[in-house]
Amino acid sequence: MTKELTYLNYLKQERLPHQWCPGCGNGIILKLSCLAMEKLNFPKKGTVMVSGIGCSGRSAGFFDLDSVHTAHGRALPVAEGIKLANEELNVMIISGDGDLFGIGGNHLLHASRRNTDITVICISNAIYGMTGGQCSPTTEISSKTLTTPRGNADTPVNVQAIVTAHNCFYARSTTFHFNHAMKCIFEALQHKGFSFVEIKSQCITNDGRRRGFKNSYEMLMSYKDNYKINNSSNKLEHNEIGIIK
Amino acid sequence: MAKKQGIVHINHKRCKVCGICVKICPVQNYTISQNKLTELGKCIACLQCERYCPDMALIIDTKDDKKTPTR
Ligand SMILES: Cc1ncc(C[n+]2csc(CCOP(=O)(O)OP(=O)(O)O)c2C)c(N)n1
Ligand code: SF4
Ligand code: SF4
Ligand code: SF4
Ligand SMILES: [Mg+2]
Repeated sequence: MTKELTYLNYLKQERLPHQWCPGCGNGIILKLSCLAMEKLNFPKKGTVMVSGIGCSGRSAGFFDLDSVHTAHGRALPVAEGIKLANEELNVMIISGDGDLFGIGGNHLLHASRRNTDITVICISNAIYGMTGGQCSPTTEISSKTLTTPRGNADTPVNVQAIVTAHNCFYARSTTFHFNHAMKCIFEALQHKGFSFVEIKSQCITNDGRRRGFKNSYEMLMSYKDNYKINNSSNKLEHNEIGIIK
Repeated sequence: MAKKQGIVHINHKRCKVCGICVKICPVQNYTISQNKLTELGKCIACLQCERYCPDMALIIDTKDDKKTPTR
């Protein structure tokens, strides 16, 4: 008999295939989130998923959970409100880098300051994927995007610094580091207080393609080459992944 | 030593032919022709493709076949 992918029970399977591009990292992060929830035996009733706007913002709608697809940048305040209204609920966000650090950046400052007990999973693809590939707050210096054709001149936002300044949980991983990324989400979900997991993820269509990647596999492998696991320090360097709590 | 064997199930309704499994498979078990993914029966059940498929389109069943000689 064919084995069952039991984590799929957290998704509305009739909505699959999802609408993301072939090879998009969003699907891997959807899967990682389900696996972590399954490992913790999260009840479907009593767990709420919130998203903002963007390709990643479509995530909430695929879960077989109560979910809210909020306005652009507003996943954080909506999730905080839900948690404050009913503290029994597990409240999670999956949203994009543009959504959480760009238009929603101010909310990140205050949600972490308030240490609200919610878990945020950021699909950090360093681009505004949905709108065609504009430079985002996490785009690397000298990276070519639609709006930085000669390379980005600005320093990316230091999410680790913002989140850890308020003594909250911060973890960074990549779609390549599958088990590591799952552990990050698993631990974040168990953390009491504000927890933030940033997962570097590939957008081949509106980012990779412009930077010379031939396919999403090459982007996945670039994470393998560019990021090393740090298990010991309380600060992650630019090229490191790990958990700070 | 018993060598692991895998039985590959491809859900063609979900597969978007992105090619990640084709490139990640250590035994080149997949090919794409006419925009369709095909498997060649060489699977050693390492589960890499099942893990990285962004579309949850692959299930690998593992069977330990004691009779299969090691290479
Ligand atoms: C108030 C408002 N401003 C701008 C937009 C246009 N818009 C839609 S998605 C998006 C960027 C999304 O980027 P990100 O959060 O990184 O998601 P991705 O598509 O990369 O997953 C923008 C600017 C909008 N929908 N609403
Ligand atoms: S545009 Fe990029 S982020 Fe959006 S679905 Fe396509 S690959 Fe994914
Ligand atoms: S990784 Fe998944 S979606 Fe991509 S070609 Fe393989 S089976 Fe299809
Ligand atoms: S399980 Fe491993 S060996 Fe089998 S098809 Fe997938 S990647 Fe190839
Ligand atoms: Mg983005």
